[in-house]
Amino acid sequence: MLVKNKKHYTCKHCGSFAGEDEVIIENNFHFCCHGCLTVFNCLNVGGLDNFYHLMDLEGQSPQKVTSENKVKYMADDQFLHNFGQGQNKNTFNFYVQGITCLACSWVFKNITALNEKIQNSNFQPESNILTLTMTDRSELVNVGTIIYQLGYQLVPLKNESEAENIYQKDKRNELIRIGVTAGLMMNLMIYSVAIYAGVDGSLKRIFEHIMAVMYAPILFYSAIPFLKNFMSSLKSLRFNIDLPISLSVLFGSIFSYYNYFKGSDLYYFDSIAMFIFLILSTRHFLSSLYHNQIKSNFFQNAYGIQQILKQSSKIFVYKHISDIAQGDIIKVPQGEIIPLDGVVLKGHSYVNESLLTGESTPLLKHRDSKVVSGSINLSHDLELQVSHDMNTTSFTKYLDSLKIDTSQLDSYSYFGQKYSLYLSFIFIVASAVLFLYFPQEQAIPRILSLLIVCCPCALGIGIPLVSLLKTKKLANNGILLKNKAVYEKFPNIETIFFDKTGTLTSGAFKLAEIVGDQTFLPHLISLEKHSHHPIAVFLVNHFTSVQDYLEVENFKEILGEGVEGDIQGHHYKIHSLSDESIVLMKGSQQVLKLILKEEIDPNNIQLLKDLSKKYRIEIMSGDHRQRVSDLIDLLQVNHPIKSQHSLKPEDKKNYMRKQKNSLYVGDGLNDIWAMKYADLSISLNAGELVNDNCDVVFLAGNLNKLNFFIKEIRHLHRLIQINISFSIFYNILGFILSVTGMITPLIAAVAMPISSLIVVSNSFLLSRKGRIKK
Amino acid sequence: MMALIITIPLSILFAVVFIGLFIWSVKSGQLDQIESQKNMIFNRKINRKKGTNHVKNNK
Repeated sequence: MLVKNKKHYTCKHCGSFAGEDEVIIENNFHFCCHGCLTVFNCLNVGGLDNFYHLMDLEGQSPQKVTSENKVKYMADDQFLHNFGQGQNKNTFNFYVQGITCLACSWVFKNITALNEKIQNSNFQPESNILTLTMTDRSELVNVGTIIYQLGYQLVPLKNESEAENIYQKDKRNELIRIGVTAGLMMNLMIYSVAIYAGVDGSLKRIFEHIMAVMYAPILFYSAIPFLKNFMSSLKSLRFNIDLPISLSVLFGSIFSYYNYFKGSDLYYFDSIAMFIFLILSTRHFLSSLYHNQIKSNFFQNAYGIQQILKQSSKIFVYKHISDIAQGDIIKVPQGEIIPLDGVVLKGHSYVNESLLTGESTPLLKHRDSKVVSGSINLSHDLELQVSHDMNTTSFTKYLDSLKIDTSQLDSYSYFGQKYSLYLSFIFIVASAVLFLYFPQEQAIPRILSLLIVCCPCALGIGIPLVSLLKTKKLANNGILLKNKAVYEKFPNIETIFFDKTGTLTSGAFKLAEIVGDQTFLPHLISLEKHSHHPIAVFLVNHFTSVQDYLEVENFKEILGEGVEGDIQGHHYKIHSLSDESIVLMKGSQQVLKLILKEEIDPNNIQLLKDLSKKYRIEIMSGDHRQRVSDLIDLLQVNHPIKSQHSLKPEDKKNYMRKQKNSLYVGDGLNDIWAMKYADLSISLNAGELVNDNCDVVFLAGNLNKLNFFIKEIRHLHRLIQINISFSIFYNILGFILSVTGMITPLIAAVAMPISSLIVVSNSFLLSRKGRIKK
Repeated sequence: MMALIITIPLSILFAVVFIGLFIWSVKSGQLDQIESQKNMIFNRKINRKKGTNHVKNNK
């Protein structure tokens, strides 16, 4: 009892009152006894002092976990600041959990439609990373809520390496689920077979008890991912591919346990266990395959660079490319690709940098010269000091500019998604009809078979898989598909438009004819020797027989006109004519004329001849008429080739706007507009800007692989049609057999994943078959 | 019938052991990177000590 007029204090820990004479004061807090003070100190030291804050919230219950609460952290300013990237801190990376099927990525393709504040989104199915750029960061929480309602969970990432760890964790959980299901399923089968074989009486009941117990972990652990997705999608009324799977698992399990307790024979523990196991393992196999196929470092893939000679204690030892850091000294043997950017420390060699710069002439590299990754060391061994590691090297940056937007959805994939949804709906309605029409013992196995067999995985898997396999095959051959809809549009192509210079012709020259007095050749070469113009360089290299150069005085190079100088007291001048011939003037008199022609690769001539049999060919050139007509004469194809000359980029654009079913092949900045207006466009690796605006990039920078590309793209289109046809046939057949009761749930459980595996094997086999002979 | 008294619990025991071992192997990371095992040689340093090969991870 409190004594009046005596000051009292409340204990910080237990809340008891303490009198003035008995209170203990520490850190401005009051305690009634040393026990409370000790507990307070323990909690404080252990970082558990939040306990006292919670004490003030007496009677408050934990907040109910709703989808909004799950992602509420996204509204927190601290989170937005810490995880936001870019200048405006409005770009966020998330690892998406719950991607169970290859087809899930289409959801993220359309995510921009869900909230107008999403400025840009990109989903990388190989790593499950979603990148969102918001115009208004405060809307992120609403986007997160919608995604959560769709059945996916977002884990915010500060950097992409975190995603790999989460992916590994997810994969481990998947594997454990598969292992647990496999172990239990095999044991279930033992008892199931015994019951099928006719075991009866008390032994049968014991077996049933064992089966019911063994099935429980499968339902409550292994099948949880399907059921979670199903519940989330049910709440948001957005159905996904797990709908029929979850329904069949739930329906089959409830009826099986119901009948087991009732003592009836109508249970399907074995069928559903096998169904879950096959679905889990097929999904794991396919997602690993997909991950490995795309994730495999393209840098290593393209050139097979895994090991590098690194200097270690004065000797060179082989190291993995990822172990090489900035400042390390490496050796690049003659004939090999330079793996990383660096500076030459020792040796000299000719290096071909055509892949990155387009410059096909080998360049001499010596001590202190810079070399770039992706170029080829042609003549001698080089020792380099690495200036950029694997992640920052020029070639990696270059590949980033060629990054394929894998989230794009072509109309076939879109059809696949819609088909899956409608199919599930039809089969669920059919199940309801069966339930009402047939007696229970006939309806249940039919409904279960129907729900199992209707799973549209074959279609969901088939289209993205063949597309992926072909994309990879083309990439390995130096062809990058930047637009996934290429195979879909290609069969409609009627006309192929070629840019001339750099595409059909190399831009190099050849000497066609010499007109005039050839005794003036030494005069011409002696003058040209002082010039760096490509034609001058060509002529000096061409007339190597001219060794006795004459002395040139008062040499002058007039840009855009030619060169002039005095030789043996006479004034000589070289200038070019409009038809690309050059003339040597002695005073005002023309003494020699050299007629030059552009060189065309004989392979390109054959290519155009082949293509002209199937397509209309048109050549669009900015060059003057003579050069273009020379080229047409050279081609000598039976089919007429239309050509246009002296075209400016605007002319090409205006012309291409009017064309239908067109493919444009170009190599320069002047082709960008034409590429944009063509139905499809191919860039011969003409730099970042051109590559960004085209549908396909030929990395080698020439047309050698055009025939291969056409063949592969047509083959891909055919493969997709085969997979669609097979899936539709399988679903119709499954529907008929299930409804008529001709297949049991067990057979349906086996048939469903087998159909997916048939599509996968078919895709692999046919993709290999399409390989051309080298 | 008597045989079943032994074989049924035995089969269940085997199942539990199999599942237990599998979970252990997955959790200890043995099945994480099956494909890349062939490249591991480049990440390892071999120290020869008194006739035995002692393999030490670089990292």
